[in-house]
Amino acid sequence: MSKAYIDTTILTNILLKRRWPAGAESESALKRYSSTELPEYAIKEFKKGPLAIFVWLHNKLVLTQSVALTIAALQKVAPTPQKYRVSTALEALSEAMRVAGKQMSRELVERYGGAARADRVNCDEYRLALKALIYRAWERRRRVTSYVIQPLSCYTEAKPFEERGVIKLDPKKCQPDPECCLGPSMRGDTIALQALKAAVKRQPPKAENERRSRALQDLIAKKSMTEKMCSDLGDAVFVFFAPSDSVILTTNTADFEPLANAVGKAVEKP
Amino acid sequence: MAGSVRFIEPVQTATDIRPYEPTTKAKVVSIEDSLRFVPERISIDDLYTEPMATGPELGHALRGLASAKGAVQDSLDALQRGEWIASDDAMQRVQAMMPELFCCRALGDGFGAVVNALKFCFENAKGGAFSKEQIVAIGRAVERVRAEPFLAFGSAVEIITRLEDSGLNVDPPAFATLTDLLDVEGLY
Repeated sequence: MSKAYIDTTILTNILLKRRWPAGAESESALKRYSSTELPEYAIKEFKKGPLAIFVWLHNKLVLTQSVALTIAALQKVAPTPQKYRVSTALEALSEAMRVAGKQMSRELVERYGGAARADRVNCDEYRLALKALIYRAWERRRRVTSYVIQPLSCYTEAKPFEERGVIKLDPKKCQPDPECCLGPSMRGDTIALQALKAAVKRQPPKAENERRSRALQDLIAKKSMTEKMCSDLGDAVFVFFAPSDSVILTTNTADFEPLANAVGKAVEKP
Repeated sequence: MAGSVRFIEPVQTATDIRPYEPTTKAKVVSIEDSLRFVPERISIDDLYTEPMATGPELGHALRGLASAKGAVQDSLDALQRGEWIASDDAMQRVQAMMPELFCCRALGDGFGAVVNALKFCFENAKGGAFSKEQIVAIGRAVERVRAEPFLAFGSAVEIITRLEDSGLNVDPPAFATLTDLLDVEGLY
Protein backbone atom coordinates (compact mmCIF):
# COMPACT_ATOMS: atom_id res chain seq x y z
CA MET A 1 0.00 0.00 0.00
CA SER A 2 1.51 3.37 -1.01
CA LYS A 3 1.09 6.28 1.35
CA ALA A 4 1.87 9.98 0.92
CA TYR A 5 2.40 12.54 3.64
CA ILE A 6 1.41 15.95 2.27
CA ASP A 7 3.27 19.17 2.99
CA THR A 8 2.08 22.80 2.81
CA THR A 9 3.20 23.39 -0.80
CA ILE A 10 0.91 20.62 -2.09
CA LEU A 11 -1.97 21.76 0.12
CA THR A 12 -1.53 25.32 -1.18
CA ASN A 13 -1.42 24.23 -4.82
CA ILE A 14 -4.63 22.26 -4.45
CA LEU A 15 -6.51 24.88 -2.45
CA LEU A 16 -5.37 28.10 -4.12
CA LYS A 17 -4.15 27.05 -7.57
CA ARG A 18 -6.66 24.30 -8.29
CA ARG A 19 -7.57 25.42 -11.80
CA TRP A 20 -4.02 26.22 -12.88
CA PRO A 21 -1.28 23.76 -13.93
CA ALA A 22 0.46 23.60 -10.53
CA GLY A 23 -2.78 22.79 -8.77
CA ALA A 24 -3.90 20.21 -11.31
CA GLU A 25 -0.48 18.53 -11.14
CA SER A 26 -0.58 18.32 -7.35
CA GLU A 27 -4.14 17.05 -7.35
CA SER A 28 -3.38 14.31 -9.83
CA ALA A 29 -0.21 13.36 -7.90
CA LEU A 30 -2.39 12.43 -4.92
CA LYS A 31 -4.03 9.75 -7.07
CA ARG A 32 -0.71 7.90 -7.28
CA TYR A 33 -1.12 6.79 -3.68
CA SER A 34 -3.66 4.50 -2.10
CA SER A 35 -3.75 6.69 0.98
CA THR A 36 -2.82 10.32 1.64
CA GLU A 37 -2.28 12.00 4.99
CA LEU A 38 -2.17 15.66 5.92
CA PRO A 39 -0.68 16.74 9.25
CA GLU A 40 -2.55 19.58 10.96
CA TYR A 41 0.77 21.43 11.02
CA ALA A 42 0.35 21.94 7.23
CA ILE A 43 -3.01 23.62 7.82
CA LYS A 44 -1.39 25.92 10.38
CA GLU A 45 1.42 26.83 7.94
CA PHE A 46 -1.07 27.30 5.10
CA LYS A 47 -3.19 29.70 7.13
CA LYS A 48 -0.24 31.70 8.39
CA GLY A 49 1.48 31.92 4.99
CA PRO A 50 -0.23 31.59 1.59
CA LEU A 51 -3.79 32.17 2.83
CA ALA A 52 -2.63 35.23 4.78
CA ILE A 53 -1.27 36.81 1.54
CA PHE A 54 -4.66 36.38 -0.15
CA VAL A 55 -6.41 37.82 2.90
CA TRP A 56 -3.99 40.76 2.92
CA LEU A 57 -4.73 41.43 -0.77
CA HIS A 58 -8.47 41.18 -0.19
CA ASN A 59 -8.29 43.60 2.71
CA LYS A 60 -6.15 46.00 0.71
CA LEU A 61 -8.82 46.04 -2.04
CA VAL A 62 -11.50 46.68 0.61
CA LEU A 63 -9.61 49.57 2.13
CA THR A 64 -8.15 51.23 -0.97
CA GLN A 65 -11.09 50.38 -3.29
CA SER A 66 -8.50 50.43 -6.04
CA VAL A 67 -6.68 47.73 -7.98
CA ALA A 68 -3.86 50.11 -8.89
CA LEU A 69 -3.19 51.08 -5.27
CA THR A 70 -3.35 47.44 -4.19
CA ILE A 71 -0.78 46.44 -6.79
CA ALA A 72 1.45 49.33 -5.76
CA ALA A 73 1.18 48.21 -2.13
CA LEU A 74 2.13 44.66 -3.06
CA GLN A 75 5.15 45.94 -4.95
CA LYS A 76 6.30 47.82 -1.85
CA VAL A 77 6.22 44.78 0.45
CA ALA A 78 8.08 42.50 -1.95
CA PRO A 79 11.37 41.33 -0.45
CA THR A 80 14.35 43.08 -2.07
CA PRO A 81 16.03 40.03 -3.67
CA GLN A 82 12.72 39.08 -5.29
CA LYS A 83 11.62 42.54 -6.44
CA TYR A 84 12.20 41.83 -10.12
CA ARG A 85 10.18 38.62 -10.02
CA VAL A 86 7.37 40.33 -8.17
CA SER A 87 7.43 43.23 -10.64
CA THR A 88 7.07 40.88 -13.58
CA ALA A 89 4.17 39.08 -11.95
CA LEU A 90 2.50 42.36 -11.04
CA GLU A 91 2.84 43.78 -14.54
CA ALA A 92 1.08 40.72 -15.92
CA LEU A 93 -1.55 40.98 -13.21
CA SER A 94 -2.08 44.66 -13.86
CA GLU A 95 -2.48 44.05 -17.58
CA ALA A 96 -4.95 41.18 -17.04
CA MET A 97 -7.01 43.36 -14.72
CA ARG A 98 -6.91 46.30 -17.13
CA VAL A 99 -8.28 44.12 -19.95
CA ALA A 100 -11.05 42.83 -17.67
CA GLY A 101 -12.02 46.36 -16.71
CA LYS A 102 -12.95 47.37 -20.26
CA GLN A 103 -16.20 45.48 -20.40
CA MET A 104 -18.70 47.95 -18.97
CA SER A 105 -20.79 49.84 -21.51
CA ARG A 106 -21.71 53.50 -21.29
CA GLU A 107 -25.33 52.41 -21.04
CA LEU A 108 -24.65 50.54 -17.81
CA VAL A 109 -22.68 53.44 -16.36
CA GLU A 110 -25.65 55.71 -17.07
CA ARG A 111 -28.06 53.27 -15.44
CA TYR A 112 -26.01 52.18 -12.43
CA GLY A 113 -23.60 55.06 -11.90
CA GLY A 114 -20.53 54.31 -9.78
CA ALA A 115 -21.34 50.60 -9.50
CA ALA A 116 -20.69 50.27 -13.25
CA ARG A 117 -17.50 52.32 -13.44
CA ALA A 118 -14.63 50.18 -14.70
CA ASP A 119 -12.33 50.81 -11.73
CA ARG A 120 -15.04 49.97 -9.19
CA VAL A 121 -16.12 46.90 -11.14
CA ASN A 122 -12.54 45.75 -11.45
CA CYS A 123 -11.82 46.21 -7.77
CA ASP A 124 -15.01 44.39 -6.70
CA GLU A 125 -14.46 41.55 -9.17
CA TYR A 126 -11.11 40.79 -7.55
CA ARG A 127 -12.26 41.48 -4.00
CA LEU A 128 -15.22 39.09 -4.32
CA ALA A 129 -13.21 36.45 -6.18
CA LEU A 130 -10.49 36.57 -3.51
CA LYS A 131 -13.03 36.41 -0.70
CA ALA A 132 -14.76 33.41 -2.30
CA LEU A 133 -11.43 31.68 -2.88
CA ILE A 134 -10.31 32.24 0.73
CA TYR A 135 -13.50 30.77 2.19
CA ARG A 136 -13.58 27.94 -0.35
CA ALA A 137 -10.00 27.02 0.40
CA TRP A 138 -10.72 26.97 4.11
CA GLU A 139 -13.84 24.82 3.68
CA ARG A 140 -11.93 22.29 1.55
CA ARG A 141 -8.73 22.09 3.60
CA ARG A 142 -9.68 18.83 5.34
CA ARG A 143 -11.07 17.18 2.22
CA VAL A 144 -7.86 17.23 0.19
CA THR A 145 -6.40 13.99 1.59
CA SER A 146 -7.75 10.66 2.84
CA TYR A 147 -6.93 11.62 6.42
CA VAL A 148 -5.91 14.62 8.51
CA ILE A 149 -3.53 13.36 11.14
CA GLN A 150 -1.36 14.52 14.03
CA PRO A 151 -3.73 17.09 15.56
CA LEU A 152 -2.12 20.00 17.35
CA SER A 153 -3.67 20.33 20.80
CA CYS A 154 -2.21 23.80 21.32
CA TYR A 155 -3.60 25.18 18.04
CA THR A 156 -7.15 26.35 17.38
CA GLU A 157 -8.15 25.81 13.76
CA ALA A 158 -10.53 28.77 13.65
CA LYS A 159 -12.43 29.74 10.52
CA PRO A 160 -11.64 33.09 8.84
CA PHE A 161 -14.11 35.78 9.87
CA GLU A 162 -15.05 39.30 8.84
CA GLU A 163 -14.89 42.44 10.88
CA ARG A 164 -15.81 45.80 9.33
CA GLY A 165 -15.42 44.36 5.85
CA VAL A 166 -11.92 42.99 6.35
CA ILE A 167 -11.18 39.28 6.75
CA LYS A 168 -9.28 38.14 9.82
CA LEU A 169 -7.45 34.87 10.29
CA ASP A 170 -6.82 34.96 14.03
CA PRO A 171 -5.50 32.93 15.65
CA LYS A 172 -2.68 32.13 13.26
CA LYS A 173 -0.31 30.92 15.96
CA CYS A 174 -0.59 28.12 18.48
CA GLN A 175 -0.90 28.87 22.18
CA PRO A 176 1.65 26.69 23.96
CA ASP A 177 0.56 25.68 27.44
CA PRO A 178 3.15 25.39 28.85
CA GLU A 179 4.91 24.47 25.59
CA CYS A 180 4.06 23.51 22.00
CA CYS A 181 2.43 20.07 21.91
CA LEU A 182 5.09 18.82 19.46
CA GLY A 183 7.91 19.52 21.95
CA PRO A 184 7.93 16.31 24.03
CA SER A 185 7.91 13.96 20.98
CA MET A 186 10.66 15.89 19.24
CA ARG A 187 12.90 16.16 22.32
CA GLY A 188 12.48 12.41 22.79
CA ASP A 189 14.48 11.61 19.64
CA THR A 190 17.80 13.41 19.98
CA ILE A 191 19.40 11.25 17.28
CA ALA A 192 16.91 12.42 14.66
CA LEU A 193 17.24 16.04 15.84
CA GLN A 194 21.03 15.89 15.51
CA ALA A 195 20.80 14.33 12.04
CA LEU A 196 18.37 17.04 10.94
CA LYS A 197 20.55 19.79 12.37
CA ALA A 198 23.61 18.45 10.57
CA ALA A 199 21.64 18.35 7.30
CA VAL A 200 20.47 21.94 7.79
CA LYS A 201 24.05 23.04 8.42
CA ARG A 202 25.07 21.63 5.05
CA GLN A 203 22.42 23.72 3.27
CA PRO A 204 23.14 27.08 1.63
CA PRO A 205 23.11 29.86 4.23
CA LYS A 206 19.75 31.59 4.30
CA ALA A 207 17.66 33.09 7.07
CA GLU A 208 15.17 30.19 7.06
CA ASN A 209 17.97 27.63 7.60
CA GLU A 210 19.55 29.72 10.37
CA ARG A 211 16.26 29.85 12.25
CA ARG A 212 15.64 26.12 11.74
CA SER A 213 19.12 25.24 12.96
CA ARG A 214 18.71 27.35 16.11
CA ALA A 215 15.35 25.76 16.90
CA LEU A 216 16.79 22.25 16.44
CA GLN A 217 19.73 23.14 18.70
CA ASP A 218 17.35 24.39 21.41
CA LEU A 219 15.44 21.11 21.29
CA ILE A 220 18.67 19.11 21.46
CA ALA A 221 19.51 21.21 24.55
CA LYS A 222 16.13 20.05 25.99
CA LYS A 223 14.60 23.52 26.02
CA SER A 224 10.82 23.89 26.02
CA MET A 225 9.36 24.35 22.55
CA THR A 226 7.96 27.84 22.04
CA GLU A 227 5.56 28.96 19.31
CA LYS A 228 8.46 30.63 17.51
CA MET A 229 10.48 27.40 17.54
CA CYS A 230 7.45 25.53 16.19
CA SER A 231 7.19 28.00 13.27
CA ASP A 232 10.95 28.16 12.66
CA LEU A 233 11.28 24.38 12.40
CA GLY A 234 8.97 24.31 9.34
CA ASP A 235 10.13 21.59 6.95
CA ALA A 236 11.94 19.79 9.78
CA VAL A 237 8.59 19.14 11.50
CA PHE A 238 7.27 17.40 8.38
CA VAL A 239 10.37 15.26 8.00
CA PHE A 240 10.46 14.39 11.72
CA PHE A 241 6.80 13.36 11.93
CA ALA A 242 6.34 11.74 8.51
CA PRO A 243 5.48 8.05 9.11
CA SER A 244 8.35 5.85 7.96
CA ASP A 245 6.07 3.91 5.57
CA SER A 246 5.07 7.15 3.75
CA VAL A 247 6.73 9.30 1.15
CA ILE A 248 6.73 13.04 1.75
CA LEU A 249 4.99 14.71 -1.18
CA THR A 250 6.20 18.28 -1.74
CA THR A 251 7.09 20.67 -4.56
CA ASN A 252 10.01 21.89 -2.45
CA THR A 253 12.33 18.91 -2.91
CA ALA A 254 15.43 21.13 -2.75
CA ASP A 255 14.82 21.87 0.93
CA PHE A 256 13.16 18.58 1.90
CA GLU A 257 15.46 16.00 0.33
CA PRO A 258 18.60 16.71 2.40
CA LEU A 259 16.54 16.63 5.60
CA ALA A 260 14.66 13.45 4.65
CA ASN A 261 17.84 11.68 3.53
CA ALA A 262 19.39 12.44 6.92
CA VAL A 263 16.71 10.42 8.72
CA GLY A 264 16.14 7.76 6.05
CA LYS A 265 12.81 9.02 4.71
CA ALA A 266 11.71 9.43 1.09
CA VAL A 267 10.58 12.55 -0.76
CA GLU A 268 8.67 12.79 -4.03
CA LYS A 269 7.35 15.67 -6.06
CA PRO A 270 4.13 15.79 -8.09
CA MET B 1 -41.81 17.28 -23.23
CA ALA B 2 -40.73 13.66 -22.77
CA GLY B 3 -37.20 13.16 -21.51
CA SER B 4 -36.30 16.85 -21.40
CA VAL B 5 -33.74 18.08 -18.89
CA ARG B 6 -35.33 20.44 -16.37
CA PHE B 7 -33.45 22.01 -13.55
CA ILE B 8 -36.18 24.58 -12.91
CA GLU B 9 -39.73 25.40 -13.78
CA PRO B 10 -40.05 27.32 -17.07
CA VAL B 11 -40.37 31.06 -16.68
CA GLN B 12 -41.39 33.92 -18.85
CA THR B 13 -38.29 35.72 -20.06
CA ALA B 14 -37.90 39.48 -19.97
CA THR B 15 -35.61 41.11 -22.46
CA ASP B 16 -35.75 44.75 -21.54
CA ILE B 17 -35.28 46.76 -18.40
CA ARG B 18 -38.37 48.56 -17.20
CA PRO B 19 -39.52 49.94 -13.86
CA TYR B 20 -40.25 47.21 -11.37
CA GLU B 21 -43.98 46.54 -11.46
CA PRO B 22 -45.01 43.27 -9.89
CA THR B 23 -47.91 41.84 -11.80
CA THR B 24 -49.30 39.86 -8.91
CA LYS B 25 -49.46 40.49 -5.21
CA ALA B 26 -49.23 37.72 -2.68
CA LYS B 27 -52.53 36.91 -1.08
CA VAL B 28 -52.20 37.33 2.66
CA VAL B 29 -53.87 34.43 4.43
CA SER B 30 -54.01 34.10 8.19
CA ILE B 31 -52.68 30.72 9.22
CA GLU B 32 -55.93 30.06 11.10
CA ASP B 33 -57.85 30.58 7.87
CA SER B 34 -55.58 28.39 5.80
CA LEU B 35 -57.30 25.21 4.72
CA ARG B 36 -54.04 23.33 4.96
CA PHE B 37 -53.03 25.06 8.20
CA VAL B 38 -49.44 25.33 6.97
CA PRO B 39 -47.48 28.38 5.79
CA GLU B 40 -48.19 29.19 2.14
CA ARG B 41 -45.07 29.36 -0.01
CA ILE B 42 -44.88 32.58 -1.99
CA SER B 43 -42.64 33.50 -4.88
CA ILE B 44 -39.65 35.83 -4.56
CA ASP B 45 -41.43 38.34 -6.83
CA ASP B 46 -44.39 38.47 -4.45
CA LEU B 47 -42.14 38.73 -1.43
CA TYR B 48 -40.45 41.94 -2.59
CA THR B 49 -43.24 43.99 -4.11
CA GLU B 50 -42.26 47.41 -2.86
CA PRO B 51 -39.36 48.84 -4.92
CA MET B 52 -38.95 51.92 -2.74
CA ALA B 53 -38.13 49.75 0.25
CA THR B 54 -35.57 47.58 -1.48
CA GLY B 55 -33.90 49.85 -4.01
CA PRO B 56 -33.87 49.50 -7.80
CA GLU B 57 -31.12 46.87 -7.80
CA LEU B 58 -33.40 44.15 -6.49
CA GLY B 59 -35.96 44.63 -9.24
CA HIS B 60 -33.25 44.72 -11.90
CA ALA B 61 -31.59 41.66 -10.42
CA LEU B 62 -34.78 39.60 -10.16
CA ARG B 63 -35.75 40.42 -13.72
CA GLY B 64 -32.27 39.75 -15.07
CA LEU B 65 -32.05 36.47 -13.19
CA ALA B 66 -35.50 35.43 -14.44
CA SER B 67 -34.27 36.03 -17.99
CA ALA B 68 -31.06 34.13 -17.29
CA LYS B 69 -33.01 31.23 -15.80
CA GLY B 70 -35.21 31.07 -18.86
CA ALA B 71 -32.23 31.21 -21.19
CA VAL B 72 -30.53 28.34 -19.36
CA GLN B 73 -33.67 26.25 -19.73
CA ASP B 74 -33.79 27.17 -23.45
CA SER B 75 -30.19 26.01 -23.74
CA LEU B 76 -30.95 22.66 -22.11
CA ASP B 77 -34.05 22.15 -24.26
CA ALA B 78 -32.05 22.92 -27.41
CA LEU B 79 -29.33 20.54 -26.31
CA GLN B 80 -31.95 17.84 -25.82
CA ARG B 81 -33.09 18.37 -29.40
CA GLY B 82 -29.50 18.17 -30.62
CA GLU B 83 -29.48 21.83 -31.65
CA TRP B 84 -25.98 22.75 -30.53
CA ILE B 85 -25.89 26.26 -31.96
CA ALA B 86 -29.23 27.18 -30.40
CA SER B 87 -28.08 25.74 -27.08
CA ASP B 88 -24.84 27.71 -27.10
CA ASP B 89 -26.60 30.85 -28.26
CA ALA B 90 -28.96 30.65 -25.29
CA MET B 91 -25.93 30.46 -22.97
CA GLN B 92 -24.47 33.48 -24.76
CA ARG B 93 -27.62 35.33 -23.75
CA VAL B 94 -26.93 34.37 -20.14
CA GLN B 95 -23.34 35.59 -20.47
CA ALA B 96 -24.50 38.93 -21.86
CA MET B 97 -26.62 39.52 -18.73
CA MET B 98 -23.77 39.04 -16.30
CA PRO B 99 -22.18 42.53 -16.43
CA GLU B 100 -25.53 44.14 -15.65
CA LEU B 101 -26.29 41.66 -12.88
CA PHE B 102 -22.88 42.45 -11.38
CA CYS B 103 -23.96 46.10 -11.20
CA CYS B 104 -26.61 44.95 -8.68
CA ARG B 105 -23.94 43.67 -6.24
CA ALA B 106 -25.05 46.23 -3.65
CA LEU B 107 -27.57 43.51 -2.72
CA GLY B 108 -24.77 41.82 -0.86
CA ASP B 109 -21.46 40.03 -1.15
CA GLY B 110 -23.23 36.66 -1.42
CA PHE B 111 -25.11 37.83 -4.52
CA GLY B 112 -22.04 39.58 -5.92
CA ALA B 113 -19.79 36.57 -5.41
CA VAL B 114 -22.11 34.14 -7.23
CA VAL B 115 -22.65 36.51 -10.19
CA ASN B 116 -18.90 37.19 -10.28
CA ALA B 117 -18.15 33.46 -10.34
CA LEU B 118 -20.68 32.91 -13.13
CA LYS B 119 -19.15 35.78 -15.08
CA PHE B 120 -15.72 34.16 -14.86
CA CYS B 121 -17.11 30.73 -15.81
CA PHE B 122 -18.05 32.28 -19.14
CA GLU B 123 -14.81 34.24 -19.54
CA ASN B 124 -12.66 31.22 -18.79
CA ALA B 125 -14.61 29.07 -21.25
CA LYS B 126 -13.32 31.49 -23.92
CA GLY B 127 -16.36 30.99 -26.12
CA GLY B 128 -16.30 27.21 -25.84
CA ALA B 129 -19.58 25.37 -25.31
CA PHE B 130 -20.50 24.00 -21.88
CA SER B 131 -21.39 20.39 -21.14
CA LYS B 132 -24.92 19.54 -20.07
CA GLU B 133 -23.74 19.09 -16.46
CA GLN B 134 -22.14 22.53 -16.52
CA ILE B 135 -25.27 24.16 -17.93
CA VAL B 136 -27.31 22.50 -15.19
CA ALA B 137 -24.82 23.75 -12.56
CA ILE B 138 -25.05 27.29 -13.95
CA GLY B 139 -28.85 27.04 -13.99
CA ARG B 140 -28.96 25.90 -10.38
CA ALA B 141 -26.71 28.78 -9.32
CA VAL B 142 -28.92 31.28 -11.15
CA GLU B 143 -32.06 29.75 -9.67
CA ARG B 144 -30.66 29.78 -6.13
CA VAL B 145 -29.51 33.39 -6.22
CA ARG B 146 -32.86 34.42 -7.69
CA ALA B 147 -34.70 32.62 -4.90
CA GLU B 148 -32.38 34.13 -2.27
CA PRO B 149 -30.90 37.38 -3.58
CA PHE B 150 -29.76 38.33 -0.07
CA LEU B 151 -28.06 34.99 0.49
CA ALA B 152 -25.31 34.73 3.09
CA PHE B 153 -21.72 34.54 1.92
CA GLY B 154 -21.41 30.98 3.25
CA SER B 155 -24.27 29.90 0.96
CA ALA B 156 -22.56 31.66 -1.95
CA VAL B 157 -19.37 29.69 -1.23
CA GLU B 158 -21.37 26.43 -1.44
CA ILE B 159 -22.87 27.44 -4.79
CA ILE B 160 -19.47 28.46 -6.18
CA THR B 161 -17.95 25.18 -4.98
CA ARG B 162 -20.64 23.28 -6.91
CA LEU B 163 -19.86 25.28 -10.05
CA GLU B 164 -16.20 24.46 -9.60
CA ASP B 165 -16.95 20.78 -8.97
CA SER B 166 -18.72 20.62 -12.34
CA GLY B 167 -15.40 21.54 -13.96
CA LEU B 168 -16.02 25.26 -14.39
CA ASN B 169 -13.26 27.75 -13.64
CA VAL B 170 -14.78 30.40 -11.40
CA ASP B 171 -11.67 32.51 -10.78
CA PRO B 172 -10.45 35.58 -12.70
CA PRO B 173 -7.87 34.64 -15.37
CA ALA B 174 -5.39 36.97 -13.65
CA PHE B 175 -5.36 34.64 -10.63
CA ALA B 176 -2.94 32.42 -12.55
CA THR B 177 -0.44 35.26 -12.24
CA LEU B 178 -1.46 36.15 -8.74
CA THR B 179 -0.79 32.63 -7.52
CA ASP B 180 2.77 32.91 -8.89
CA LEU B 181 3.37 35.38 -6.09
CA LEU B 182 2.85 32.57 -3.61
CA ASP B 183 6.10 31.07 -4.79
CA VAL B 184 8.07 34.22 -4.07
CA GLU B 185 10.37 33.29 -1.23
CA GLY B 186 10.29 35.67 1.68
CA LEU B 187 6.94 37.26 0.83
CA TYR B 188 5.40 35.62 3.90
